[in-house]
Amino acid sequence: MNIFKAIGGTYNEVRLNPNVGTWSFLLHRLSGILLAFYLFMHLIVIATSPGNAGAFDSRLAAVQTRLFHLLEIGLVGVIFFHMLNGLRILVADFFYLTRQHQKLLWIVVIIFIIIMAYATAVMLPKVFHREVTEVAQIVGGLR
Amino acid sequence: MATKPGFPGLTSWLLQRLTGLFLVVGLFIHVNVIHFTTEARLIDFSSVTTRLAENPTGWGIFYVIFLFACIYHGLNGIWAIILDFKPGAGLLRFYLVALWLIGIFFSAYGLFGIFGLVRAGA
Amino acid sequence: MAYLKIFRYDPSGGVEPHFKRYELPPEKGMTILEALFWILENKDPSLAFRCSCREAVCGSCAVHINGEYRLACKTQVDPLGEEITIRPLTHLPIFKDLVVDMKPFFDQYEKIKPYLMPKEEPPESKEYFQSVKDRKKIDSLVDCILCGACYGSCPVAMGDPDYLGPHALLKALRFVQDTRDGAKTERLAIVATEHGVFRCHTIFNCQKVCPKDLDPTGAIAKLKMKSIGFKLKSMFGFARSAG
Repeated sequence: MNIFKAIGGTYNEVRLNPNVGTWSFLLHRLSGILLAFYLFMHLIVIATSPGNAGAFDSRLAAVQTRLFHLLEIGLVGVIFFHMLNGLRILVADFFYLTRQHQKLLWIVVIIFIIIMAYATAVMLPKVFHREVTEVAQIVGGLR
Repeated sequence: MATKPGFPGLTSWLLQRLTGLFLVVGLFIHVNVIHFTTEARLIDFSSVTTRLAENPTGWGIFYVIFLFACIYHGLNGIWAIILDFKPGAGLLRFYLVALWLIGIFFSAYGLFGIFGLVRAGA
Repeated sequence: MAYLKIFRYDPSGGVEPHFKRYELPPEKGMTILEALFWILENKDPSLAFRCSCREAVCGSCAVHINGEYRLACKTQVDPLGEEITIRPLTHLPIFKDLVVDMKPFFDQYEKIKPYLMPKEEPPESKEYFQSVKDRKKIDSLVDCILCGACYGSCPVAMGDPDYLGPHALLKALRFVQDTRDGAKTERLAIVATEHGVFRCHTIFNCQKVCPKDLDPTGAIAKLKMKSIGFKLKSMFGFARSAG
């Protein structure tokens, strides 16, 4: 297995089959690889020295900067895309809804947008190290 | 023809779906607790251990299952990608052993973390 | 005025892979296959392509036309716009231009034993009977013309030459669902492997491109469920005999 050949071949597949099926497959695969790597990084951050409060706090503080809080919104997006698209594939396979896969994808997109709207609303304040209630007050004050 | 064919690949295919279904529930809980909290406070040692101390058995069992489901789902997914490109028999065995070692290492690492944090809160 | 951009390649004649552009005469209702014949007769007699029936029955002329695998004989030039790009089927070795070696494709097809394997002799040694209701179970599955469009469109076939492919798996379901057939277990054992139904990632390209509007993705899903059902049943049977 040659990794460059694999990437080149995958690119060719996407180029020759510009369908929603290929796109969702590609995004599912990329998000899956990303999440697998994230899982191991996450375990290293969380599970190292679980009995030592000082070491735990300094490591967690390093990954809770504004940049990381912004990236976390992306992480939640990747998680929910992979989750919803995985459910779509599962439902299509188990309930013989393969003919309805495009409709299922639109349902996935709609649920994804709703979840991400909520996620952004509750997570964006963290990027600016604000509380949601504080932001609500500021917005209320502007009105 | 054997009367009971083995169906290689069936178990990993089915377990990928079953762990996936569990992760849907698990991630809603996990993401809700960690990211969808309406407080801006940073996550730190005391906040984590306090939360776990509220229900140490419940959280402990949840996180152990969640850990195994995550690691299996992730590594089995990578295994599926490797199979997609059909490496030779020797390379395939190497990847399989490597994935098992990664899985065992991070399972142990994660268990160490979960038990440590649950015990620290108790 | 339409132009055809055709993939040209001749491994034995020293022609490197490239695209050649041909201008087509304006003609209403012209199909891609007719256009290819027009080029062959008027512009370039060295152009190689495959065809036979000209009416979407034989499955010889599947090529990649403007972003989708289609039958050249079933696709008209007009709706495709000014410039039409034609490539040979992917995942199969190229003989010349648009002609590919279908041997790997038919080797996969043969692996699923595409013939009836009845459990008993026909009644009165004549023919096997099948009710109208039972025949309905294999409706549409028998329509597959083995053109190779699905195999070309399948990203799994790109990396795994052992993958049975949508065509073979659809045909496998055709025999599994046939009430006259008596080798269901053997057939499931052939398809329910890492390089069979469980290699399918439900990408739906095969369903999208099928010129006969069949659903290989759905057929593979059915085979997955049937093998899981069989496995559970055999496990249950094993548990009962042990206890």
